[in-house]
Amino acid sequence: MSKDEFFSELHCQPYEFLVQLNQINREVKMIQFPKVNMIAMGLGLLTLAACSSSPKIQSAAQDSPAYQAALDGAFADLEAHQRPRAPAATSEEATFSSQFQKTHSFQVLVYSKRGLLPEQRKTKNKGPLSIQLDKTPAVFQFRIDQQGKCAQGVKDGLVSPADVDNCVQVEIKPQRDSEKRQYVRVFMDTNYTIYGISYHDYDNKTGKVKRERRKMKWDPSEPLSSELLSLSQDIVPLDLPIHATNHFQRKIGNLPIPLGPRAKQKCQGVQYQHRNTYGSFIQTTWCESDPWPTYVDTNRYVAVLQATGKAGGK
Amino acid sequence: MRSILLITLFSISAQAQLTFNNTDFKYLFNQYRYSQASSLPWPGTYWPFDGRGRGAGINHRIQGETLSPAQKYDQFFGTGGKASAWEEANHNCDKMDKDLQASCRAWYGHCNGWTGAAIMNAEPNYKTPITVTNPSTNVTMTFDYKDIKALLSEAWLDAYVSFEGTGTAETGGDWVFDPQSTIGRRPSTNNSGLTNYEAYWDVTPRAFFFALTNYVGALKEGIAIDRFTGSEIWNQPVIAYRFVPIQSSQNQVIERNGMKVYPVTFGVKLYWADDSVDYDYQRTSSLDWSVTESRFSSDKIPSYGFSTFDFVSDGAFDSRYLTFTLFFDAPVVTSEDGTQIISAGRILGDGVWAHADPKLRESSFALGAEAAQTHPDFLWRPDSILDQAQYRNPYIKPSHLYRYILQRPMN
Repeated sequence: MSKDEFFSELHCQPYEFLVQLNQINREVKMIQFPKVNMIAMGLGLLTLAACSSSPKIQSAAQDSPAYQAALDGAFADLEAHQRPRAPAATSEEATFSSQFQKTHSFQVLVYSKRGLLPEQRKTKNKGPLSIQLDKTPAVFQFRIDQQGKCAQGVKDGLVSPADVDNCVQVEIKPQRDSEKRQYVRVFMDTNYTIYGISYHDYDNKTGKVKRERRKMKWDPSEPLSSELLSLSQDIVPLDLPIHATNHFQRKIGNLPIPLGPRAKQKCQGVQYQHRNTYGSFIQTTWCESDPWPTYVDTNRYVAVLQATGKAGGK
Repeated sequence: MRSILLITLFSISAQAQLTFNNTDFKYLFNQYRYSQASSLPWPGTYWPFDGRGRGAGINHRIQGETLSPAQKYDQFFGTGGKASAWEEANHNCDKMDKDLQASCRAWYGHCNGWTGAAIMNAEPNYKTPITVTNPSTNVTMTFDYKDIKALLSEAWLDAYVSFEGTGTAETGGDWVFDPQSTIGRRPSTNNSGLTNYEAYWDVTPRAFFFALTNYVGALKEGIAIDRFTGSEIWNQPVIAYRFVPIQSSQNQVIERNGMKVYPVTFGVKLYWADDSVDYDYQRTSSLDWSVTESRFSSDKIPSYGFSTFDFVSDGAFDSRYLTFTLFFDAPVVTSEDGTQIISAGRILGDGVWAHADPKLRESSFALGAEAAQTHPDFLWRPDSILDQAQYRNPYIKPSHLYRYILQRPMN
């Protein structure tokens, strides 16, 4: 048997064989084999051990910096999850919350991003994709029910009756859907902490209008993520950071709004950076006069808040 | 489970479809521990810019053929040879800057176009060429599987894509392994908002798990990876994956300040269609490839790095074995054989790739010294063809290709 044939029979590459051989050698030392046919027996054992044993799934060593960094991240995540639902902690958050409570509607313009692959294999400092922003935004109408005490959310089991006093219902519809058959409802408190979501869609591909509805009770420590929701092909601009957790936050002075009808207006507020469930990076700019993020930049879209309608007035 | 779907109720669910928006870890693992795309992305050459003296890119005249795919296209549409001339002038290593020519000859080509085409189109039939007549030119032409693969690979060079991961400038070095190193802490060069360290180690294990199980698992769709973590881009269409059973022996808990985190290490085999094949390549033993067939895919744990247990003899598909650790907020309890999860907490943080440990890398035969061929650098999925040519040969019109040659809708 040639070396290649031998390895071929093992269905292992030489390196694996050597690793296994070391293990076998250790075992062999403990077992007293008869001297006769030692080689043949050894080969048989090697075959068995090399090909039928189940090696351990390897992980990074726990003392490696990478493992420790990941572990730190896990503990930070756990700590954020264990933090109880609490009132807003900073003056900025109190401002947003105050604005939110006065608001009954607003629009959000969504400029989808399109990733374009770069020329193949051409650059060493690769940005893997170039980004194009759709010129025409999709418009989403947000309506806020401040008074209904999230009755539907309670009925759907998404909101506890004990929480209704501070609960608002936010209904989001794409404006282009003239029949308004699709919408998302978010039940949240006025500090933007989410209780639950219901998602309403209709399948009219077959001509028969069929209603699809889902309800999701939300972990309050989890940032709301647009990647978890979609209305047909639409991106619903629902990426919200979580205040008062480990998300990076910095105050901004005169930051111009880059897009939309309010473009070039400057504002003061806060900027957040966080990652959503998929690990995608989200940057949120929140002007202090706005009840909802002024500008959200994700890897799928840029969303800009339109002028808002205040509660009690038209 | 990443905590979001504490309760998921499908109250009225007519033809409710599973979508990619599922982050229920237990559900995803149990339902989609292994899966494959329903239309298996196909192997094919990447139509290298180095035409080996027989024409560059898709203007390559395959041995035994009198016309290149681009020349056939030219004749069929009466372009006056513009498509083949453009290909020769642009997708050609000889036309590159001198300092790029060596790299070009090694690996420049149409592999992103091929990847998109292979995911979004069924493999052309080897035995049934398409013979069509153009009513405008009155030219009748026969396009076989090689021509069709070539033209599709060109067409899909410019596509809208969805993606995960940022890619980054990988120069290697200690910073790759140490998040606290000076270079590791610097902002990455691609304006992603991440540090060099974070940018290098995305795609994170958590995102990778969700992408595989949601796209290839739940949706049975192919996705693309840049399988080369280093500076080169090697786009390959993923055909399937298989998580090996979770090992009960790794039950661990790490305690800190009264909080407990439970690490679990996963091994996953990733299968992709290969582009290191000849122009006239045809599949043989892989024609009935299935992740459920033990001759193609198994739960055996190979050595770290490239899988040697799972392969096909005809070179259609390649595979890699990756391991990573995810952290949970509760023990992950599995069936005895590790193939089903009985209970699990939620995933905490991003997780860590096993090869983020330099010691492990050094001990690995397959990986070598460079942090190059490990986890995917980015993941993407083609959405639709971009009609306007940017990198594509502008004389190859995707709409014409689909309408007049393939005779089916484009997207």
